[in-house]
Amino acid sequence: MTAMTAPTPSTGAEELRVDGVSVELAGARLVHEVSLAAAAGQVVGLIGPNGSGKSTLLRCVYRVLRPAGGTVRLAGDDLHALTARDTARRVAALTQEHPAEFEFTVAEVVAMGRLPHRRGLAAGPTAGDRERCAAALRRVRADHLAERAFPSLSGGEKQRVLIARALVQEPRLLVLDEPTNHLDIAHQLEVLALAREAGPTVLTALHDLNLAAAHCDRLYVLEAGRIVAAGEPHEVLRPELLAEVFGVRATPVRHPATGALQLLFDRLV
Amino acid sequence: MSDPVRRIPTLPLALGLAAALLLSLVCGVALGASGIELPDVLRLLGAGLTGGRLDAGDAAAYAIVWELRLPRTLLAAVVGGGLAATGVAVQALVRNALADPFVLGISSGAAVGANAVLLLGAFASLGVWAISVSAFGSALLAMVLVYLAARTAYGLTPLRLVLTGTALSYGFSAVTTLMVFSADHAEAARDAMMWLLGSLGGATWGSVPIAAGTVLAGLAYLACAAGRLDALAMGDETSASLGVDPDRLRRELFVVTAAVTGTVVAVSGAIGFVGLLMPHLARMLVGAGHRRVLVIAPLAGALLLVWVDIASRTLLAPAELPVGVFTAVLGVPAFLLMMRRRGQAFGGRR
Repeated sequence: MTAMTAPTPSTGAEELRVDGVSVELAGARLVHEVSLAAAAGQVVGLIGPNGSGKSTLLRCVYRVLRPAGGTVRLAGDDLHALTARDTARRVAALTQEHPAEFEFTVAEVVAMGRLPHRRGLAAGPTAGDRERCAAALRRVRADHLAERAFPSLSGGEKQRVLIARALVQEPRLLVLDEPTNHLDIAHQLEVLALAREAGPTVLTALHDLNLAAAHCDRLYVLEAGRIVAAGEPHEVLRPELLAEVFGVRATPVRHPATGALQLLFDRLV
Repeated sequence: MSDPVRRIPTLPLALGLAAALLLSLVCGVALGASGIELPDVLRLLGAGLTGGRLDAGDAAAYAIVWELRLPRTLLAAVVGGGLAATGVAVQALVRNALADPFVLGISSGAAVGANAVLLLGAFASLGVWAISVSAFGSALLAMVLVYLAARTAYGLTPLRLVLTGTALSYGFSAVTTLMVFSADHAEAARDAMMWLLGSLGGATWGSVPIAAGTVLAGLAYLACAAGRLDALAMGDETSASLGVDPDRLRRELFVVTAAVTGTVVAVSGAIGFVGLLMPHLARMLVGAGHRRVLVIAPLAGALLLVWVDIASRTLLAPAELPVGVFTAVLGVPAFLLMMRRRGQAFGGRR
């Protein structure tokens, strides 16, 4: 197990760099000097037990929270030094919020992704915006849902629509906070495949370690607000680490068909 | 729920409502206790607009049409539009379709400020603006009080907000009543009724421009913020990820709501349920997008209040019923229906 408190070595086409980020909420330090990096086009996974600080760290990247220390840079720009609107042109997010109070249609929800690109305060959607939205809905195979009320959709449909919204936002980085929660297995695979397409660079928190192993190019493991391991899935998901961080005994195996690393869980430690 | 949402196209609906409103304004001027015939009303209106000459015998009718009914009807439209617009703003602000300035106690708070000026002579140095400024200030204060009292570490829940608003609104109403009765005023009880239930009986040409200006400015701001209101309605985190700072937008909405509510209450008292129902009606007709809602809701609110005012002064003529009696008769059942339909969204598992 490699302790990762120092920044990871930079690669040639580094896109996202989180450097020494700490987050405090109501006096409690939830994230301690976390550093991580993602190369352009990579899907980087953030794993860790409940309460380890995954969502909190992601909130710093899509700018809901301001870090108490450290920087978040995307293609060299300090995201917290930009305006909220400029950040939103670079970073799109799928959060865990699912408000049901207002019955926006799917088309309206997707159109909100163009908000940071609108000219002027009162400007409405342009013809180009509408085309982009229609194309994004086709790409996530949700064009038949366009006139449906968003709150009435199933969990999988909602995530597809939100990915379409992220697509029209035309971000450099897509941040996903446990995008597969409450989805059946087909929808889990679909959402992750779409996210990889929508990218181009993806940072995602995931609970399912096998999904993380199969879909991420690189994993960071958070425990109590600190990065305790980083690397490719096969480097990270070793039995010792799983026992120490997640409290389970697991046997790594190779998927006979895909060759991806998968874990068989034996029992609690 | 799984059917596509059925909607009415916004533009024809808006044009229809605008035409109906124009017609209703004429009705508002034509209908009344003194029974002036419609041709006379139109002739007197024309004379007033073009500066034509009138016979001496028309003086009384002209005064009724031009000095009483016209400003009153215009004010009804302005107040109705303003209440509907603030309803939209407050509902987006607290992310709940059961909120409005009246339910949250902001209207009763504004009435305290307006009364302090009218009855106690507070802020006399501000002249004609005193009532508006004072009502605005106390509306803002009431809003902040409700907000702070209802807030928890995990944000605002609708149930806490509505309970807090209701409780504080009783308190504000008590203060208003106390002021009215202690002001040694011949018609104290009726005045108190006017503040608590709302009435347009006090309308004059003096009150129309300030109210209309504030309401139109508030509407213009909200129309510019429509896209951001959509984002805010989707949640704070979503809003931030779309480049809309939710805290900043909420602060702006606080000020705009307080200004419009304060001004409207200063001229009409605390009229309930218009701000609650009109946004809801608009969303049923054209969907939740704020660009559309902010066109339809104010027009519908203006239309409703013009007719409610006509009813309030003609049904029991020459006596007048407070406008709020009618809006409550319409509003209470509608509120209960909405709450039942949204049972699980309202104070339940969210």
